[in-house]
Amino acid sequence: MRYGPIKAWAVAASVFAVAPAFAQKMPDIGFKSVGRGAPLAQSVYDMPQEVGPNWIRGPGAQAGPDVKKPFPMNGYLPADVPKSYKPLPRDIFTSDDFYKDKDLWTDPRYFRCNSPQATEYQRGVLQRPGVNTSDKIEDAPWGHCEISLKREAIVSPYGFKTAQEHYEALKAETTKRGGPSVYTYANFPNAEWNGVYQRPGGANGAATQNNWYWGRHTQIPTVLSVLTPKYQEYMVQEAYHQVRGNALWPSTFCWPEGFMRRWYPAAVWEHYIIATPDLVNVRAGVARNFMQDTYIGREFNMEDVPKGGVPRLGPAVPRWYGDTIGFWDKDVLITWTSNIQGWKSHSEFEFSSKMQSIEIYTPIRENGKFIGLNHETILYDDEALATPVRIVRNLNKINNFSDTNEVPYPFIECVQTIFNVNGANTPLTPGAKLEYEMPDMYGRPWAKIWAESFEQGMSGPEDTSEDLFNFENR
Amino acid sequence: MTTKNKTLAALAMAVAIAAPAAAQQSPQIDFKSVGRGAPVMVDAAALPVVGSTWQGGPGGPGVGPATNQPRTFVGSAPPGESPKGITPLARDMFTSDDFYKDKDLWSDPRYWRCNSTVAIEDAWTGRGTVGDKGPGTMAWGRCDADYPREAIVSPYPFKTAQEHWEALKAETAKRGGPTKHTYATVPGEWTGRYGRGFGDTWYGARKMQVSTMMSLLTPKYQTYLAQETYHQGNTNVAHWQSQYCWPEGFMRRWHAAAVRDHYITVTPQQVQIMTGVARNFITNILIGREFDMSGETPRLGADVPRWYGETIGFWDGDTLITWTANLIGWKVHAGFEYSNKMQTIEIYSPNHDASGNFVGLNHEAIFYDEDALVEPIRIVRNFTKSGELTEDAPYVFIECVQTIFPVNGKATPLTPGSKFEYEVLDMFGRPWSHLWEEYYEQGMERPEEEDIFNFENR
Repeated sequence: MRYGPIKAWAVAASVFAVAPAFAQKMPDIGFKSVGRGAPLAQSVYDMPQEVGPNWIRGPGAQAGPDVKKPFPMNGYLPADVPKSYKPLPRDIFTSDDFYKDKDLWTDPRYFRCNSPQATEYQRGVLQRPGVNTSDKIEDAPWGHCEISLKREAIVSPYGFKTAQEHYEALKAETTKRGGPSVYTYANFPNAEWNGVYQRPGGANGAATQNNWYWGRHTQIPTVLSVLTPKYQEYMVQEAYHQVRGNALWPSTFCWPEGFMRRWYPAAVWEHYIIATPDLVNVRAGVARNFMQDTYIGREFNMEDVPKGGVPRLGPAVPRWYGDTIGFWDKDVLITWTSNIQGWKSHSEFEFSSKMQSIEIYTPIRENGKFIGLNHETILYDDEALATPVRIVRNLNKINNFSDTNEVPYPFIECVQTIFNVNGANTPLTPGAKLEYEMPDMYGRPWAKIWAESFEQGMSGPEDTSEDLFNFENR
Repeated sequence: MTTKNKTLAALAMAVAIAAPAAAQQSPQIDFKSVGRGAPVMVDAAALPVVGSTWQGGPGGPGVGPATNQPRTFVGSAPPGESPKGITPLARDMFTSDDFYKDKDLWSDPRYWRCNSTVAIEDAWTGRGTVGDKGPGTMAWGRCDADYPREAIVSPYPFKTAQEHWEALKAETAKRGGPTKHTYATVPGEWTGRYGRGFGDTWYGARKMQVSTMMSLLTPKYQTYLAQETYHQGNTNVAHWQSQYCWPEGFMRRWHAAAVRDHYITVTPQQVQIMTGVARNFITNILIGREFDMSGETPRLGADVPRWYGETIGFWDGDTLITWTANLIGWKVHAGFEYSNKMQTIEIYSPNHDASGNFVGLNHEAIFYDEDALVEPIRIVRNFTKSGELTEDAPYVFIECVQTIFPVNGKATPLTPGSKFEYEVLDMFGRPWSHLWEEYYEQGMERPEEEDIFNFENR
């Protein structure tokens, strides 16, 4: 990873040095664990501002009269960029072929120091108006080059190479502690888990769940640095098209959200948790449903692992949200998810069907009262990730299911109203007709649309994958 | 009903009542309730299949492995023939060019050639009995068999789900309830997996004449049923919601083909039931809650109908009594459509074996829908617990990937890269009907429906 060219990184380091080290608290688990509860190397809550660029606007704020600058900007218009930034002669906004620019991807200036989420702000695909108010893409504003969450705060603090190692170590540790705890209905101590947990972006939800994966506090190269070359390319491909307004988000088309969107604020609202001795069910969703069923006390079928397969519970067919097993260490739930369908998470990185997670749900108590769950996740994916990464968030409980003001989970059946018309997301009304091309849902359908609509003449990716159906190769 | 029909119906009833009554287990209840546990009058499993079908044969469909035996016909007259003792109608759904005009004939089983909706749905498949010369040669089912209407309609006197719910709650209060469970007392043994079979019910529609199903419905919903049945059997154009990855809808949960194993999770505050094949069905029963009665229908959350509704419930000892409302009207193929007014009272009662061991759940559901149903109806089925959640394959949460598309009004399997003209459908305006009307009902005299967005009518 080349951070060297930018002196701004030194500035960033000094900013972070004065911030409190562990402002986003991990729960005090009462002992030093081999694989859970490690403090965060840095919390997004310690950062004075987001990377940007983004409009600074409060809820309900109305745009000012200057259409070129309707709100104050967190970031810089090209004309206002600090001299120390030294723009590159060619960047993602001026390039006609991002594939050729691979050597530049590690330099934040290639992305004009935009955060991953800012790629969705540029042309207003996430929130209008876009921060680039010009009709020229090369007028795109800059974020803050001196700001980024440290890579160390993203990568796993544990030494495990695989989810299996991690799970086995946690299980061995729990065994030494007298566990795993085996409960029945007669002695189940975690009834207080049942209920509804605050949505991430809700009034105070952002204050409990915000983390690097929301994409507001990192430079894009920081995230790229945890990816393998192929998945770096996928992420840059999306960034290139998003800053031009050509976003292709799964939920836009009622496609599955995919496993990793569960950690993204816009994809989930309240979390609904049902806890029993045998099964813990976590539901959430906005455009589609996320369902995590943790089967307590189960063991994975490992027969495919020596052949390159993945642990699983049922048939050797990847599941959109995987299979999950777990065990209790008293009131802490430790889980392992595998057999996941690889997919994408827009503004963050794609992941493969090798993705596995270790997730730990730890009660948060205030004066002894249960107020929520700390959710620590370590992600392993040897195809997509150069190193395991960690996401930590806190889920604040807001309701019991029996509360009169509790709104039940609305199980979502997505009805498609937006269609891809010549590469553009187009809302259509009933009766409208279009030429529809059936997507290959297991072949990165978003990439095919970009390639056909917006990548004519580009050098294109080196396709090193084996074409299973090309009999000439046999 | 014509004299001929009455004769057919009486004959069918006689066959039905003569069948053993115990096999379709009624709820195990030790008192006479105002609104639950009434015995199932007729066991569907004991009745013969009504519709015409082919069974067995080399490589052919049917029960068990293929044999070298010739396939056998089940029904009263094979393709191209008419049954003895039955006078065919001059015009029926297989010869009609406009089923709308035939409304007066829909109540006559002969209009459907004494077939069930399922047999008509199967008509063009390998086991179907459309003859070589097209729909006009469709075979006849048994005119002497039927599931009696009396065994379908609710045995309880309530006009609305609310009345039913309140009566059950009052009864439970008299019995010392509702029971407030904790984890230590809630029937945790319910948590587990229940096998995919739940017994043959009338709603499986293999044992029932189409005309009997019609008799349950209001005129508008009779038309909807006739429309689907006509297109499934005559034009051979089925539009099933799951083939397009559309929502299955609330009532498909009772249809055997739409669900497999049921996964039930019990807590004192909430009981969750998950099941599905092409799409997921999720039932969340919120214990001890009350509906907000201020809107169009009872609801818990926003005044927006939900695909699977909202459900409240209470315990009477180890029996769970629920009320579902605020759901989206939709369809059930080979069944009938229903409206947003659909509500259910459902009762889950434990089944025990002779030794008193918990073996599963009796699921009694009473359906109220003043738009679609002329009177409330009931479905009773039994779930057999097949294992704990700590065993066997987990519930597969389904994300349906569409591979079949309506191309020129017909369901067409396509491969990635295929291109066709796609019409955006109005998913809240009976999209299946639009496809039929657009492509297969040219020239038919369709009755006018109220257009709520036509301000000239205001």
